[in-house]
Amino acid sequence: MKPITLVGLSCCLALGLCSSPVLAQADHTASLNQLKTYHFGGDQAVLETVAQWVNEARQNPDTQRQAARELAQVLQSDASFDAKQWVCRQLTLVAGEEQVPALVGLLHDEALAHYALMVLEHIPGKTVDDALQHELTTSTSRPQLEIINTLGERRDVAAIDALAPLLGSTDAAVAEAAASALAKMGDARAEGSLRQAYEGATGDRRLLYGRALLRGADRLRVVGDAPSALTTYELLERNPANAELNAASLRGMVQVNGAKALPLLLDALAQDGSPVQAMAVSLVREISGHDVTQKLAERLPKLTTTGQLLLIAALRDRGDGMAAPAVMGLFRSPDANVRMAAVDTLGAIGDAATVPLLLQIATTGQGEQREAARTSLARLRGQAVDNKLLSLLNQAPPSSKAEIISSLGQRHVIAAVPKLVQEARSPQPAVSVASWRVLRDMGQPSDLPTLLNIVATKPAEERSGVLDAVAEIARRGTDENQRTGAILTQLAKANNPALKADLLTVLGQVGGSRALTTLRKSLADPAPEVRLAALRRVAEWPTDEPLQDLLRIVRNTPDEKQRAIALRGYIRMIGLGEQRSPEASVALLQQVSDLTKSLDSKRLVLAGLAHLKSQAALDYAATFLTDKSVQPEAEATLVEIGQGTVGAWRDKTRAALQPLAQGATDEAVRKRASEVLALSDKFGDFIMAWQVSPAYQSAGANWQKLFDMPFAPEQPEHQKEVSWRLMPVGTNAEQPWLLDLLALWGGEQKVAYLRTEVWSDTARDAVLELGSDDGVKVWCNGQVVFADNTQRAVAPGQDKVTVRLKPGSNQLMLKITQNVLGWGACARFTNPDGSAVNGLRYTVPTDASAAHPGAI
Amino acid sequence: MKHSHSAKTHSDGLSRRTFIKQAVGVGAGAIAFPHIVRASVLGRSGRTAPSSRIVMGAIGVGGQGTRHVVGGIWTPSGGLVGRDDVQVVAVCDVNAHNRNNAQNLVNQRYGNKDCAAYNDFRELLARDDIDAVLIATGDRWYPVIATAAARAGKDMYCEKPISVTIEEAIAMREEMRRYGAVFQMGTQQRSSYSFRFACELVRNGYIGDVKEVVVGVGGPPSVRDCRLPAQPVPDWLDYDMWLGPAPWRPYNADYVNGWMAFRDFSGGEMTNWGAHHFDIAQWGLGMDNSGPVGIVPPNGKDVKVLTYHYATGAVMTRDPDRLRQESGQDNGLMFVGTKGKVAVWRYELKTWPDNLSRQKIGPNEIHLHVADNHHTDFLNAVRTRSHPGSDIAIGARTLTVCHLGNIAYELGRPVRWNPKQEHFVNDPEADRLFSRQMRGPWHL
Repeated sequence: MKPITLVGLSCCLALGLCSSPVLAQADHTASLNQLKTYHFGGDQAVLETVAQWVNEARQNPDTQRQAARELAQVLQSDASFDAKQWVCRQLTLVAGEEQVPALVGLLHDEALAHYALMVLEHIPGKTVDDALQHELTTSTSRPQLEIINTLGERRDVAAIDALAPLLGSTDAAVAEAAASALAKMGDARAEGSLRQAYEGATGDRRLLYGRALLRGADRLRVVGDAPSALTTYELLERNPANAELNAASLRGMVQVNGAKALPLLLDALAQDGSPVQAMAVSLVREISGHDVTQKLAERLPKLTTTGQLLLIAALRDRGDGMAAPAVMGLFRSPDANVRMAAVDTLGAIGDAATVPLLLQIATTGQGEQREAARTSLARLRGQAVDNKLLSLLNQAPPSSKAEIISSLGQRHVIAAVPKLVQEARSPQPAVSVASWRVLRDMGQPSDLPTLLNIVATKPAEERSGVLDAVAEIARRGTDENQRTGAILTQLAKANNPALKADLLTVLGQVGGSRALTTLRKSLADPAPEVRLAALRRVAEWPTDEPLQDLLRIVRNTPDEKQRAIALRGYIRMIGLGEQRSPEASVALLQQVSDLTKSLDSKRLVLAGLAHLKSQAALDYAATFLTDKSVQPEAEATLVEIGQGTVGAWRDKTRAALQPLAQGATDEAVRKRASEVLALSDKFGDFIMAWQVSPAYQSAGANWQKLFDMPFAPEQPEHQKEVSWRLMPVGTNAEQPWLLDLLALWGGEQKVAYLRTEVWSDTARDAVLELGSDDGVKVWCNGQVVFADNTQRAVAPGQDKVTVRLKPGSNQLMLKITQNVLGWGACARFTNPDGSAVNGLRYTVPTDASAAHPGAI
Repeated sequence: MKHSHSAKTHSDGLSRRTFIKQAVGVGAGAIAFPHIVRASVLGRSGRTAPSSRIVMGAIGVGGQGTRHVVGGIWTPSGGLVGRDDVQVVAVCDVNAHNRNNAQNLVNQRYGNKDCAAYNDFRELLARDDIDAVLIATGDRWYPVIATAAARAGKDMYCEKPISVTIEEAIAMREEMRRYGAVFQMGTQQRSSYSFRFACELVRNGYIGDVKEVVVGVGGPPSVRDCRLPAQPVPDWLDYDMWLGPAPWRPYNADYVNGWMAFRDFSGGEMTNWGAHHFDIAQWGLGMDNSGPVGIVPPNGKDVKVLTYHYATGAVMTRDPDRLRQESGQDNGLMFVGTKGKVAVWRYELKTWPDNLSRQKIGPNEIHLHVADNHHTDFLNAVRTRSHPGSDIAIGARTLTVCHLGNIAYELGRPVRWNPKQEHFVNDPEADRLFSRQMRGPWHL
């Protein structure tokens, strides 16, 4: 990356700093007066006005001074607390020494002192320091503590003499605040007073002073007085108030002395379970240098198991290969955890020289240690590691070879591919399998001719393991020729039916139009196993393109096994046609009804039917009820269909389910039928017969923008493109009226449409009671009758829209937007006086069905 | 076209038991044509001996704190009590409802009555038997409680955003290092594969030189002032302790229920979501130990959105609208380089070109801190005394970025920042927003 040229930023800065303020100073005096009586919860306009005035005043030193002056006058008035705290906030950026008296005047006010100090803290100059020191002597309680804290924040060394006596206060809070303030000074005299207090104290006080002392020493070190800091660290190390301070003093000494403090660290590493050991392990990571690593490595074998485990982890984080030999030495440790940690750490700090040992463990080790070695082999850094693995591949025994090949794959060493292609021919199964596994990830379509030749020479029983790899490599091709060309060439050469069957299997996995053509052709191959392989792939084709091929086989084959495979594929494909209506799908299922005499076949048909939510599906499923061999399955299918149709065709569905609620063979089916019936009882007069569109989104458009963006359902020229489907209802027992779009489509920043047909026995005005989450737009007979671009949770009757219905059919459509979380709607009609309306019926639209076979 | 079906054959039959179970929705969804479901691989087995468990207390057990303890959204599955390497022995909250609820939940999960409950965090920190604490009290409190915990020898998992000022974040870092405390900030996106992988793609140059980072942090540019009317303080709340170091004002329930929206308690969305997404931006830019050099707020003219300039030439903007336009999501971030782009959000990733998302990061390339569970990462660090993925040094830098944005917004003009020295460049006015005096008796 190039270093930044800060031209653009400089321009921005210049623009900001030099822009000419337009001061709206006119009426601020009145606002300031009004502010004096402000109380929280009142009209906030006065606050905004004052803030705006101060903000504009900041653009000019003269106006800023004047604003600060006038604000300070409010502080000196009898203004409310609410007003004064607001004024203090405004003074934060503009107050100067001139405002100190007004601010200091608040320091005896328990509630306002803190607000004043938030301003005073940032006003430069001795005026503030002097005033605070003076107030320190007269203040008490919380304000006194706050003044002490502020003196500390201001690093006011002139306050040391005033603060030091407070260390002896009987009030622990005062002593603690004073100690902390002195620590912040970065001054040897302040540190001296803390040291004196520390040495003369016991118990909690000693700990309190010790902590401040430590902090003071750190501050001294930062400001360049390392000798004074070291004096404190040594005191705390020699005579610590507790173990944590002792550990912290070690850190201080290391900070001052660097690597010279290493002996202290090495000693601390041996103190198992102590804070100083924990600190040492932490510090080991911070001191750089190969010589430090060397000394740590020398100490490693002499530590206890606990010490070794901690130091190994630290050496790992140091990332210095200098420690690798010592870590390798721990492979002989009697402790399994140490051995494991060593293997793991070598992956981070090892190099090519580490490869043989890790390889040995990966080849002959056991359990987690073996896996850790494999992981470490994959993590080792450096081209030399890749080269080492490749060189070892030529001479390694088969067992190690497989590990090397796996490591090369883990490391994604593309240069190894030619060698791996050779090893794929290996007579050693472990080597061959490992090679194919890696080639699956790294092989290229250009390798396919060679690999397919190897496949062709393998015995049939060994081919299955490599076919997936061939398919995976082929899929990486950038065009159909790259993907299937080599496979088709090999297929043309193949005269062994078993090999042809395998190649067809691969072809089916890869896909593409040429693959399908070849598979279809192979359905008529003279060899039965070739026909069967082709049929399996055709039956699993991911689109319904070969639907008719399968129907022909179902009708014509005398082979029961082939018929079963074809039938399964045929039924599966019926479910794949998104543009096919449920009625058309039922018709396709009926086409095979005479041919499905076996039990399995009937079950498959019923399984397919269960997906189709239509009256025709209900009717057809009911015809199976009299077939005792599949009666339980037919009952279950009817309930499954009924769950989807009970909104659109309530009466018909209820009629179908009522007998099942009482008399279905299976208890679970009876229970579910009862639940669906109970739920439909709660629909009341809500409209439940809806079709739903797909969910629409648009890049960069949120729910608000989507509300006004027209999608296909509201564009006459595109309406035929809409795949309307039946809206699932009753998905929420607590809100049976809810049309739950979130459950159907999910997601955020979307929009979907719902439509229904309202049949009215007469022309009438009716009130459409709507609920929506989030926004809703309503069309009645093509005209927008309501729109509310809002976000909210859905509840019945949120909007009431009077709609003019004509006699006969009326088309009603809702557009519902989705921001986040819930997404749905509900709707019903009432009379204008709120009473239930009679003479309306709701059905899912059928007009578009005639014009557009894709819709219901 | 790609087939998803295995070459292996399967049973062509469909049993009655399977059929009915699926048909009535008892099984895995509605009736389905037979398909192959891979069983998930379970994690390592083996229980941790009670003596080896890390003993923890939880300070601040409102929504997020309780979720950390017993599990829930935005926290690792199962929570701390669901782990066999942790024993939660105490909870603390100034809200008695939260405190009692959390205590009961812990006791229910463990099947005993051992969990203690405190109103004052200092009592919990005084317990010698506690190794580590979870802190989820809210931004105003984190600096005070975290530094007290470090002094008491505790390690800590601390929720974000960790401070209300830059000075506090830096002071926390110093205190953690001073006492060698392990500190994990609750930016769990650092323990997510997709965020890590996105940053590894960027750091290894797969999108070329980084020119821009578009960060989707929503919400208004400013934080609300505290102006709500006084209400009676409920008897279940220790309001003075709830306020802690924050300026005093009369109680109002909205402060307690939505403190993150108010200036005195938090930095608003800039620190809330900013702590997550600016954090990942810093990670991807390799700026964990540095930061921007210039921050420019929108000016209504040529600068439309908050803009950060880095010394490398990279420019980072807070621009959820652009992020949505280009990636389809507005709550995440996108790195824009000279050769491609990477957008990432919870927990998905999108790349341009598309095949970048399948790129394998080799052993000789930059690998970032690996973690897949933020609690586990913290506890591993506790055991090895190492720095977890969201260490305090990283957290302090991330919060600095967030606060710098808020300061630029408040000043209404650009500011220059020296990331090495961690102070503003010749800007006494901005210096006044670098720190904020705490209400007594609290201080750092």
